[in-house]
Amino acid sequence: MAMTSETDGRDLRLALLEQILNGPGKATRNLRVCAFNNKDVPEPLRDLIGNIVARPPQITDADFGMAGSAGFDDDELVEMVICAAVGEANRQYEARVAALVAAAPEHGSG
Amino acid sequence: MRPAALDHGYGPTTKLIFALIRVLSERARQDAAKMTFYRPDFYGKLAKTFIQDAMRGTSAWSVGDHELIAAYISRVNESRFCVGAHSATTALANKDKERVMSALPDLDNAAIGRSLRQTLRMLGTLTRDGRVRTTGMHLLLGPAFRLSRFSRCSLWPSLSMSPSGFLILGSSIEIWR
Repeated sequence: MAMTSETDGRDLRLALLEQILNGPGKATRNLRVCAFNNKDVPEPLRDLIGNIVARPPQITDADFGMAGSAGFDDDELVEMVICAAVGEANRQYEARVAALVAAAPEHGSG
Repeated sequence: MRPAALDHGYGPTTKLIFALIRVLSERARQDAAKMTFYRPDFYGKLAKTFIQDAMRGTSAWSVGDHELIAAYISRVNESRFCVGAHSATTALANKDKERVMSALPDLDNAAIGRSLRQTLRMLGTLTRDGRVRTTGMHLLLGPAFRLSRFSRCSLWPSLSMSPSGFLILGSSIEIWR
């Protein structure tokens, strides 16, 4: 049976989340999860991750400087930026689906 | 002070793609592209497939509509690079640059259909506020519109496409200077 674009997309989204959170990477899994959820982020990364999630145009050199001076290298920072941004995307996606389902239950999780 | 690692480690094909983007976008920086092509096994390979499916997969929306949605959300996200890229694409797809340019700053009076206008409004609210009221969805799903157009499958691309987080990503790295 041919999959719809929706099911393709759902599988792709889950595969992407699995990769960035649990796949091979330089940052620890715990750090990636913290960045993804924007929760319990270590102090040196807090401004950077918080700005990526809520105020991306306000990111400053100081945000990266603080993270770098705490010992995080470029690869780790790239991974955590990706996790933070995709995490926010995922939260927005889930909010849209929840609002759609609440408004029109017939369009629920089928 | 963006990570210097993003300036290295690309093959000839990727460098050629960067050159094309630079020429077509008339922008020297292409951080969103660099992020996608850097260590593609971590993010870019799957992300490109996902975005391609969302933007060009089966949908009731046209290619021009998809790109207009992306441009509009990019504007909400204040991502200049992505606004430029998606505006150019939707202008090409629709052969109507005025439509794009009118929708971005003034959604209420833009020369677009009511259903697309409501969808843009809902997605803009969600992007700004992080949530959308059920009444916002009722506006989309109400009797004024053909429900089939807003089946979950049809809505999928606008639900999942890059505008939300992926353009947050784009706008984040755009200002790493």
